[in-house]
Amino acid sequence: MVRIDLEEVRRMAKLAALELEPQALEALRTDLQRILDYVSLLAEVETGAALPSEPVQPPVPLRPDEPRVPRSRSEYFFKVPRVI
Amino acid sequence: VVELQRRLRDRELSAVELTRACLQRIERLDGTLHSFVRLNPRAEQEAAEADRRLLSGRGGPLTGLPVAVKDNIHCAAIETSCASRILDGFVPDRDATATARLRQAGVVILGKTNMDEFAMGSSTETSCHGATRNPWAVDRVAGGSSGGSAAAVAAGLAPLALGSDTGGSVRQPAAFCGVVGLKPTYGRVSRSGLVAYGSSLDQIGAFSREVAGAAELLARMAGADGEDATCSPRPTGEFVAACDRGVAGLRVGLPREYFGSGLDGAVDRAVRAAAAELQRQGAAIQDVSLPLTRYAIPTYYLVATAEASSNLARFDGVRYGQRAPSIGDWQDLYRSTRGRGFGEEVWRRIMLGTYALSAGYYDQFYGKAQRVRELLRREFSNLFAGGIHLLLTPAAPTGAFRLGEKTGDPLSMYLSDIYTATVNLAGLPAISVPVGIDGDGLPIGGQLIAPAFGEELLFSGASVIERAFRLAPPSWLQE
Repeated sequence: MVRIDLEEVRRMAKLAALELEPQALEALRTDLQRILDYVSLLAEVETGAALPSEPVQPPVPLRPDEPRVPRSRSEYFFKVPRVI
Repeated sequence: VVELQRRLRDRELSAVELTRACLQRIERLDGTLHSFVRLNPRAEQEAAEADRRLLSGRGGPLTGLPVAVKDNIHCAAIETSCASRILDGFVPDRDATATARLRQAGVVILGKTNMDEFAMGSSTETSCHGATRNPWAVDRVAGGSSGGSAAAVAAGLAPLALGSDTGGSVRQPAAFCGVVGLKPTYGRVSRSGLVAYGSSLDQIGAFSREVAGAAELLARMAGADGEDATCSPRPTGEFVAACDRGVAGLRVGLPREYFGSGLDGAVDRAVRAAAAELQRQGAAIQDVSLPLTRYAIPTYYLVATAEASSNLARFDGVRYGQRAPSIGDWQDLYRSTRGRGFGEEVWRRIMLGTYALSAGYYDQFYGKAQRVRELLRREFSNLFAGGIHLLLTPAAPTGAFRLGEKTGDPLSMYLSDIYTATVNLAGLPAISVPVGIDGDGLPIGGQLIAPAFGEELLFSGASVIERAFRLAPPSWLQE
């Protein structure tokens, strides 16, 4: 069984770029612990040498590499906030 | 739908009249149901255009039929919110491939329907716009995540609707609302213009009151698309004709793991009655086994949330929708936008996915789930290789639950997808079709599952069930 503490939840929130209130972090800790306990059920499955396969079998079609008319700057560009 | 098609073709009814009738019905009933989040301001103009096509003989089977579109599928110039505050104000500049193909066929886009935020939920209660109510009992959920589309079709607000299905988000609400819900094979319909949740699982699906309506929509949406490399170049199929083929000679399996504990007695009896009907019509029914079924939900929630945590990284306050006022650096801007913009269920899934992918846990969780997924896929392919043509199961373990009943318990909400999520993990097509009414007067859905790219078999089987179990709409909604 994995135990997830508040420090680990804070670390995940940082990795996921989520700014959350302390009560939200605590509630997430409780929920994540319950969910992880449940999904740990997978440890029972003997997977042996099974390797994940691709969801779509080849040949995967590619679109022809043809130039298209680009949209104008005023239509397509957008303003980002000043960060430096 | 079939009746509406005939009346449009015979000019007994114009597309404008039909669209106005839908809009009036929405005006009258949707204050209660809350299935739409936005109407298309150009709906009547699109209907007038459809009428011109019909008059000049350029109409097709879908020309003039109104379609409601789930709010995570782009319709050019109409806001896409995914029922999330973070996308507030985002207007896509193009159609999804699926909507573009339907527009070419002459459908009228009625509006965008309610859903769980970013399709994360099984009840349409995580929507930032508020929950959708079930037309059969307004204190019950419509199911989810495509609850708005299911409720709109059930209440006759739209004859047809689109949804998306990552773990059951078309089939479960279809079952709860007593309509037909189709989830095509992974790769059958282009996902271009569908806001991504779990990219290896997502597929655009169709709602209709009749199996033939779902077949018509699929016939128009299916097929290779250069904008989505996972969309298969395989030939599409005779979906509408397949509705009349019957089931004589087909072998239908009942997987015993889908009829175990947790299944409501009325659902069990109704699905078995549907099996008996298939047998009367010439199919052979056989008990089969899918022993790994109990591992499907844990596998699904690890794979889906891992993909979601990566897909939703693009919502950062810079490129789309809302941006939180920030006084710090760009990282503060990302964090505060995402913390405020996403709701609780989205936080939960992003966090679980981040955890499952993070260093130290990757093999134990995500890697393990991927290997179990492959074994689940093989279980299905072995059954189909052994001569089974279709599987029949319940679509959900119970009828629609009450609003608020499961919102405090994420795990019990996740378990309402227990019969549907495996199908997405295996990439298979499946359809939910009404098979009866339970003791509370709520619809029950049966699910048929076919081999990859075997949608024709779904339509043949579901049509046989539909002829025997057609539901009358709830009495307060009858004309």
